[in-house]
Amino acid sequence: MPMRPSLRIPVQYLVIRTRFFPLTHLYRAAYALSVRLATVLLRRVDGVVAIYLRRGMAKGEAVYGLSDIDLSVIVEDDDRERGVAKEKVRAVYDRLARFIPLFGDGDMELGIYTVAEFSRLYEDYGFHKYRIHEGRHTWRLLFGRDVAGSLPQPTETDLRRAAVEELKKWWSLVSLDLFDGERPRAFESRYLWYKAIAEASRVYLHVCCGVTVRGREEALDRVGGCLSPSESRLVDRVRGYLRHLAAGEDIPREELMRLFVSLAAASFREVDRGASAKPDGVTVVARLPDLEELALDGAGRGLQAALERDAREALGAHIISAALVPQAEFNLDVLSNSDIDALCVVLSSKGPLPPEKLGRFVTLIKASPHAPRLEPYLLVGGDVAFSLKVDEVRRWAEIKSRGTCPLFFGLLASGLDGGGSASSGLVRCRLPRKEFEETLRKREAGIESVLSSRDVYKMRTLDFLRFFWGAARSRLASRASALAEVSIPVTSRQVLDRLIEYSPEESGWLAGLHGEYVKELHGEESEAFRYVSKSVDLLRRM
Amino acid sequence: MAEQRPSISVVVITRNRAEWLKEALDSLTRQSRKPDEVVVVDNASEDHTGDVIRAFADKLDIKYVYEPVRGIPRARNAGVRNAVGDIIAFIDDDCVADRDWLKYIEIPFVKDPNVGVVGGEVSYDRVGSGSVEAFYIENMNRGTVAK
Repeated sequence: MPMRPSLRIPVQYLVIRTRFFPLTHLYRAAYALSVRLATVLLRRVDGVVAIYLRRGMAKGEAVYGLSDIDLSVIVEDDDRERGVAKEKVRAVYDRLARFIPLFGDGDMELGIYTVAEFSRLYEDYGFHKYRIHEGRHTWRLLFGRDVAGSLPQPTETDLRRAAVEELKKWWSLVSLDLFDGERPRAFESRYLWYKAIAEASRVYLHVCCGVTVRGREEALDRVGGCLSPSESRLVDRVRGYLRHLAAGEDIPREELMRLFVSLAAASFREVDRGASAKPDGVTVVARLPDLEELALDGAGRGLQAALERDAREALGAHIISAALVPQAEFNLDVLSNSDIDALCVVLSSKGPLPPEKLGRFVTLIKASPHAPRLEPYLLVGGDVAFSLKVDEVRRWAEIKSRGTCPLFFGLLASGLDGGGSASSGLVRCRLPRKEFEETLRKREAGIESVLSSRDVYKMRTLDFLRFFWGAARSRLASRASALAEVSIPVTSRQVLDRLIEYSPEESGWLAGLHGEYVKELHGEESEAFRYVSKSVDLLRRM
Repeated sequence: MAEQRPSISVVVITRNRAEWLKEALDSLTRQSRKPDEVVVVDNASEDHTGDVIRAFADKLDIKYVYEPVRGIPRARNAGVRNAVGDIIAFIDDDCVADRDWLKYIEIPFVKDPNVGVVGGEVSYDRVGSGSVEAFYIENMNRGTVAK
């Protein structure tokens, strides 16, 4: 348990107001001593292979009073021990965090992985690839062998694709500051925006200018030359935030949001440009579901009308349309279960939308009975969409671009416009074959690891069912992935139809399952749990 | 067509606690997931336990079993021998079941083929000196009594 919140804030405030000699030496010594103590205690745990100090502290960018000590601990692969080493590491860390406030929440600040998990994160997830790759140059190995250093070198194309994933993390953090209603304290906001703009600049410099920059100050220093004069002046102001964290003046959130969005959108577009040059492709076909199929409760028209009303109420004359688009891309993180039957509400506007108006729209969306499945997006320049909602499981706010989410943009272009008209045509997209097959392979590996664990039965019934439809959707696509044209089911209803084609003798219980799933989805009493065991069996057989 | 619908027998053993038994059986009539049968083992009671059990005959599918030899294990075994359900749920005569007790007992059995036994949370009402309640609460919090 970290320091009590009531005590933490005044202590932080005191430290950031007293960052001058000789106190800075004292703070530095406190951080160094804490790191040393953690190393001594953690290296004693059986099975620990490596301990890394990551991020700000490792790079010498720690802000005393605000920065936590970020650690990664790698333990031996242990099929027989069933995670005992990990639990011991976590217990040691939690004890440290209880007495030393420089160690933050273990869920957020501490990464504990087996060697195989660490390697898989690096191989399969762009966000981790980018961070671990950077870590090879900036992390400090406190103990053990250099596991990160022994991972294969990524290609430049892979690294650029991975780099833009970092933007999603920072977009999720600034989204909370912009739209959540409960804003952090002024000095925390200033520090957050300093980091977010600096990290977005680093990615922009890497992806768009081919310049690798390790430090935040250097990134802010160099990015100014690539921006318009007004943006450049704003970057200069952002640099001042770090020096004057405790200053009283308010921060220009609207301008900062626009700068972040501009840097991020440019980076995504650059990555898309590289991807579109690839020749070998597979055509993916999706059928656009109609409104009733999307809403799953016979109230599709009402839902569309309510969304339009909310958009006009919150955003007024700024808004051009609020389109309802089904989520169709494959999400690698199968346990988040946030992709099947999710409804993206995509806002198009005439000009920039003020954050407080967007925040108002997010609040109205949260009040909808469909809220858990609704994800509002802001479309920028017609080709990059920023989610306005942070996924609670993954603590993640998505950014979609034409290259990374072609189905989404295909469905958006052919789909439901602000007038509420529905067309149920087929949408065709051309995807690079290698990447499509890679995505399916990675997703299969994730599904397999869920199915092989007994914990699959312990999932909340609704979480399991969303996993089930998503996993079945992947398995159906995998079976056809060698074909020139692959048909992808979009909604759970479409997955159901395809499953019945695949296995007609099971149509009875599958239809029953879908009916109960819809009840569960709408929070009604359901018997859906009765189908879990049978559904696991079907997935294992597929 | 719903899948995996096991039957549930509830076994209650009792002795000379007619009034408490009434409350226990009453709570079984209010279950959101109805029991398929209720086996009440009368362990040689000398009060009006038999009358109470008969009074519930029209509200529950109740089976009256008389076990003349006193003792909890013998009574419990008599209950199990007479139960025909796929799942057997035990409740004591001095307990009152939550409305969703059977519903939440059934779910893990149905969802997970590896499950053999299911337990639930028990909360205590203060009776008499409260010493039994105090002992359990204290030791459960310490983790010395299995939850």
